[in-house]
Amino acid sequence: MQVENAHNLTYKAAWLKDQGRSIGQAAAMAKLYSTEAAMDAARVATQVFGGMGFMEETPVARFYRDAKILEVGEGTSEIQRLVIARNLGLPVE
Amino acid sequence: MAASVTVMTWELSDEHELLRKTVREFAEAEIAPHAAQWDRDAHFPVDVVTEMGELGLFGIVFPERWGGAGGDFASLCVAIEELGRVDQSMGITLSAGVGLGANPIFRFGDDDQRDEWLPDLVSGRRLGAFGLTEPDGGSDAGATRTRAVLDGDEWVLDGSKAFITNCGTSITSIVTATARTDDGISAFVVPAGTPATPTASRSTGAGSRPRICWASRGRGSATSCRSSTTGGSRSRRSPSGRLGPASSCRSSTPSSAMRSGVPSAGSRASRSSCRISPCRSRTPTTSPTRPPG
Repeated sequence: MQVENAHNLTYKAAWLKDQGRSIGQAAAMAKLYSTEAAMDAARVATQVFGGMGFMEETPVARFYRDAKILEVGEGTSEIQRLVIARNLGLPVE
Repeated sequence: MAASVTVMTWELSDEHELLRKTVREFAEAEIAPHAAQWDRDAHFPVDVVTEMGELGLFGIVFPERWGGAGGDFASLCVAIEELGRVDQSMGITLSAGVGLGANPIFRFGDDDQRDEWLPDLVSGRRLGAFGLTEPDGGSDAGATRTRAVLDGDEWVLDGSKAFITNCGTSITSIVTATARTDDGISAFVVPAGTPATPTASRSTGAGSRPRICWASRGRGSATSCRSSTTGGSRSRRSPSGRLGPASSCRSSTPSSAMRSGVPSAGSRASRSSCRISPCRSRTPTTSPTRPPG
């Protein structure tokens, strides 16, 4: 369900961009939600594999590690929340 | 998406699905079988990036004038999604190459800069990088300490940058770096080969093979984009309007962060030492951005 939501947020943001409309809020929400969804999915998958989830020969170990960087690069989750809160008119400064 | 669509929808078209199929087949054939080994070896597969370029992936959203397809961002999302499906690192390579490498030149550069840099970036023959984060700055772009000073007809940048995705490859052509001027923060285009442009590379082992660089503390000249990356600052142009060799350069001192080990996010994270090239020559070397090893 999170993956579906991530898809919807991401492609909605792309659609808005292609319509020439403002995407600041949609892009921030897409980036925040999708990267955290990736992290959640990878965390659960690693747990399913138990100890093997931490072994090099198991792909989920790579997925877990790769997912984490997404929450950091190109605007951290904290920055995305700041952008979203600011767009909502909340006093964030 | 068709402009005639009046209801709000972001359903993908048949063309998008065809692109998805093409990229998926490419990713499963050329990337998936090798991704884990590339991670272990901290190998950046330039040949595969070139093939991605030949597929047109780097040019999806750019105008045909510079070799792009004039396509939409939904298509770019499809391409990044399909690469990331098998290997996050290659997805990031495309995302950063387009969004951080070519797009600042396209959106904020002038036509001279676009004509000079975009064709190779849009075709995937070269990669562009963006130097924003500083070793002590984290996400606070407004706290940028790197300074840009106009010296004669050249801009001289003085400062340190970190986590510069897509630099440190043998096909990196430019690094766009943010720096503070007397009028605020602007973005400067620094060609690879300029003394004191990023020369050190380190591997995180996480989603971004050996393409994350730490810039040496040093000086090099550059032209600036017309606009800034952060709010409130102004556009600047080099009086000469052209890129020139560095006017001066001082030897670098690795920061404490550079000397520390690689953060290990997993048992496979490789540990590569950082090497900062002292900048003694005024002549750009041929491939200073090649990762060590």
